[in-house]
Amino acid sequence: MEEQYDLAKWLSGEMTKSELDAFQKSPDFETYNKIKNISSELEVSEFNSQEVYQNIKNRKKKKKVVRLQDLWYMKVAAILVIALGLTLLAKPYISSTEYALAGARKTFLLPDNSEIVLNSGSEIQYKKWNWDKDRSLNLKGEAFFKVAKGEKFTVKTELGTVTVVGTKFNIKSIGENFEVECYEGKVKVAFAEKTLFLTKGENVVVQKNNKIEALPLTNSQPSWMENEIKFNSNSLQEIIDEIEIQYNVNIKNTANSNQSFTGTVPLNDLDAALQIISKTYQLNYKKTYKEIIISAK
Amino acid sequence: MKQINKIGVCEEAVFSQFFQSNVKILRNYLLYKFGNEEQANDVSQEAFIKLWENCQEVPLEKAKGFIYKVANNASLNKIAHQKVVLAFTQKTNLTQHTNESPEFILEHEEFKTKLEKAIQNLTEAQRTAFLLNRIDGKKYSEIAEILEISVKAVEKRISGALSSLRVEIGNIK
Repeated sequence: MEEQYDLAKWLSGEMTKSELDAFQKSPDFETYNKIKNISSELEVSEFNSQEVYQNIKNRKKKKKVVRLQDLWYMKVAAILVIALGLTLLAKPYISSTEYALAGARKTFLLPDNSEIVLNSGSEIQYKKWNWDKDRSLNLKGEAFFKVAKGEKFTVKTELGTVTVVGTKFNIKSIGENFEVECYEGKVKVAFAEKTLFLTKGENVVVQKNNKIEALPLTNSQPSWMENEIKFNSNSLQEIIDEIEIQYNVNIKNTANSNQSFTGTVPLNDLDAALQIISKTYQLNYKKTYKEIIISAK
Repeated sequence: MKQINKIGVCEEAVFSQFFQSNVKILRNYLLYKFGNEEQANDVSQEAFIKLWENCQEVPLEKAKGFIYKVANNASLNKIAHQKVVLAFTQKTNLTQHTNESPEFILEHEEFKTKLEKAIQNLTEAQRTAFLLNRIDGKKYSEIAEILEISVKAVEKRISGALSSLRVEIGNIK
């Protein structure tokens, strides 16, 4: 850009009086003047010349021992680069595993931003590599899925497989119980060579490979996410196992019952939960410092 | 300086004095050039080490040219053309503004931010010349010596820098 005024001369104070007068009248003068004043306030980080001099002095002494330090760095750097490279290369091919410990939950996102909430003591395994083309994962336990739209999405469990396109659903696959609840969209459930479809608000409970009557869905998300444990004709032992894992407690049960239980118990109030169970099954319970003891009345 | 002119740089006292009076400008020059503090510090140190190693061959009056030459050569080996991210430090005391209104201070700070941003976008030649003058208070003749160009060329760079800064600041909203 061709400038009318000799800006360098102005900056160094070498402009003549008449040049300066003219320049000061120009519309750009104010900005130039600000640049001049404010640029003189600029500072860069302090420099520790003493330290550098010390480094040079040290080098003077061992003039011939050249770049020992640099070589040391290079070795470490090379190892890091190789390690990083291997990790990056291998990572997509290795299955990723997500766990929720007993008494805790875990929410995480898949590479396509599908959201998964793992219930206590559950586990999911999937491969990040080629995820967008092959959206399938293995589930042990219970989890709630909010699946992002895209290719078909498959959840494999030991008891059955659920296939969806984009929806919200909950799967529980524990022991001999396989439950699928659909909260949005449509899911395809396959178990024991049977296939059925669930739409919004529908659920299926499978026990020992047979479909059984189940409590209808009343909420927009699984009961466990609303702090309730739902049971669909489960045995006493199954109920106790579930309470153990949800509350992360040890329960010693000496009672025996063939009666099955359908209903909900609170997930955030252990005493209330134990009372419901005790009442239903006519049991006594006692809490000790290390475990809960349940016995017949 | 006159009395030590004839003495070689290998003399520790001479080397030390030369180091103290030149290292800061060399380092700042490299900082403006690279926009990277670590690189600037490393190359400065490297230049003085080279000078020490070659002190027999380099007379004091050539020492300055020598360190800049080494530094510039070393710069060629460093990653070129990376985006300059010059970090300016904040002046901690605002005493000079205490009588000013908050609006003035705000406007002042705003302009400063724009200016810093605009400086990043200057060409390397403009930025080094401009900042050596503004931050280190170097005269055009001194900058000419450092950059091994004529005073006229320095003035051209300074004028160009000012003009680009004005345009750039006008564009930053």
